[in-house]
Amino acid sequence: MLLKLVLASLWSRRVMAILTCTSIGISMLVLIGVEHLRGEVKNNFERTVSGVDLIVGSRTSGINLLLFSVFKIGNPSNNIQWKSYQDIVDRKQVAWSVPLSMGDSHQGFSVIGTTDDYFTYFKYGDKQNISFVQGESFKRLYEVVLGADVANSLGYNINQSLVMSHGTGKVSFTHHDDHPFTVVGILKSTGTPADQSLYIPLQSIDILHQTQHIHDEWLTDVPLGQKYQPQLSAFLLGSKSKIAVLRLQRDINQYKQEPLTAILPALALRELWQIVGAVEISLRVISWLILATALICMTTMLLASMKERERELAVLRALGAKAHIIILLIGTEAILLTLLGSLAGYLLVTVGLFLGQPLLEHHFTLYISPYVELVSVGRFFLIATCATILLSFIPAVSAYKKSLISGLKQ
Amino acid sequence: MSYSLSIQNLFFTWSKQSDFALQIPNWQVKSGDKVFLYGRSGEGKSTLLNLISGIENRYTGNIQVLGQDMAKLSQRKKDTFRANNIGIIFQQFNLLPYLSAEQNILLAQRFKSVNKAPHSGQLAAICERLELSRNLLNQKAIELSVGQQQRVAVARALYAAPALIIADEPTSALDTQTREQFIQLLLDCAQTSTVVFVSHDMSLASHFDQQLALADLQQPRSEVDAA
Repeated sequence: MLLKLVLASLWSRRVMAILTCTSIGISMLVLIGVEHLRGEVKNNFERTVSGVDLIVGSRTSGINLLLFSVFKIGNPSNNIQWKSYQDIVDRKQVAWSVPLSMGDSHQGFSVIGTTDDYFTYFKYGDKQNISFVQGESFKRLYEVVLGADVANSLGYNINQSLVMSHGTGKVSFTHHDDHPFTVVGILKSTGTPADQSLYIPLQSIDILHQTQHIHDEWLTDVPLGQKYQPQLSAFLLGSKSKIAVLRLQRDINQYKQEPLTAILPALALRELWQIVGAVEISLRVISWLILATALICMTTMLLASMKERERELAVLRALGAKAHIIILLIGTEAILLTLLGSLAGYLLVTVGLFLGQPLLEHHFTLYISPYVELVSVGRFFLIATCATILLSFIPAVSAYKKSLISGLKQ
Repeated sequence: MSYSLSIQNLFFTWSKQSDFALQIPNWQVKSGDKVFLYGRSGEGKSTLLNLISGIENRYTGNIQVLGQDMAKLSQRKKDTFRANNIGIIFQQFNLLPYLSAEQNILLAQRFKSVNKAPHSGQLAAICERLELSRNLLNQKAIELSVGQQQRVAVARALYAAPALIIADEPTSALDTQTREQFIQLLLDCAQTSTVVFVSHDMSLASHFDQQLALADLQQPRSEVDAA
């Protein structure tokens, strides 16, 4: 009965109700959206690289090195000479290394020149290995392995032939048409920027930038360091012991032959997150303030509507409606508006993420799940509802006190 | 002899500075009586009805409704008492515009403390008497004509067969012919109830057992001041 009365009353003031729901919905959209994005971005950051002790690049800031080598955002400040790379990886503390050379692209996706050690040593998430969903690693010069998103977005399959472009932009005027590559492997999705790249042999990076045509060969016939000594954008290192990592880092940072920077990925990630964290806190504060404003606006709206509803409430009281009925009536109305608005906000976030997820993934290499955790949404709903119950007491008690005499006098 | 309404030494004023005061030394209404109470505008007719129904509480003296001393009831109990025993017909009918005519009629029943819901035949009987068709009962109150609203308001007051019906100038917006029909309808339907009908229209007085001027019930203001 009470719910029927509330629904009928709200329906009679539906324009106001829809506007109130919209304002609560938008504030909930911001709150849930910011919270979900924050969690997902943090999760993305944390799972992007794992099991790598050091990332080495030419002299630059740690964050820049992390961004271009792992997140494929930005560019290296300079290249590393093959000789320097060889000198460092030959040290006794180094267990393994993965050279990375960037600068080319295919349809906007970055092309990484590397060795098949990349598929062995590069890990993500909780030290999970990269694995192949189809095919295997490259064994010849003109073979390419695709990240999961590249294969999905472009609809490529094994044996597909494709051409790399010079530069990292989406549009390139220089294509390496004379060196077509064949897809030999497709990686399983990792939910990291690794899915957004194409992997070719490091030797091929050198070949792509030569004017003369070189025939396809087995990689074992053209070992690195002999015929091909490509320059590197960065390289990943694994050390034999954790204690050796800091010493190795110091040595690389003081390397005399070439200015280099070595970073510990976990520390750089934390440093990066601290920068993002300040923005994150501001966004959280702003989104809570927006929700508070929307709820206060709803209370103001309810208070304002009390004047025009005095007669309605007075009639209810004259017919015998007790105080708790009047308070419940106003409270239920406010709770209903909050819940409907919150639900609308939740649906908007989910739909928005479904639609925007491919864009976020492609432009920012961020894999944001469109499924918002119900626990965190439930927490927001609960907080909003509790705040509504408290705030609705103001108009409800005011309505009860005023309703009888002043309402019937109208 | 049982009284539906008994008032003794009632004194009410809005404030000490106010010129208005309602002072009724003694007044009783027997159960089943149909009383016509008249008076000039502003004399306090509506205020008296508010005091009787427990809507207005700031008074001294004694008001007993159906044997219950209203001063001894908390506001919550007054609300319940009103829902259980008193049917009110307002000057402007006061139907909730967003509810259907039927929902308006059934509304008061929902606020009762004990489920004394009349059997479904009673609603049908009242509606038939008041010429409220099913089609009309389904319409929103706001869509009804004044005459139809008036009949729905009467049906709402009579539906639960309250022991006391108080009507506050319910005919003031009606033409002469409709007014006569309304009074006839009300009194026919409320044969077992006590009715206190307030109006300043003396042409309706003949329909009632008793005709009382509020001024006659009241103690003169000079005596009040002296007291």
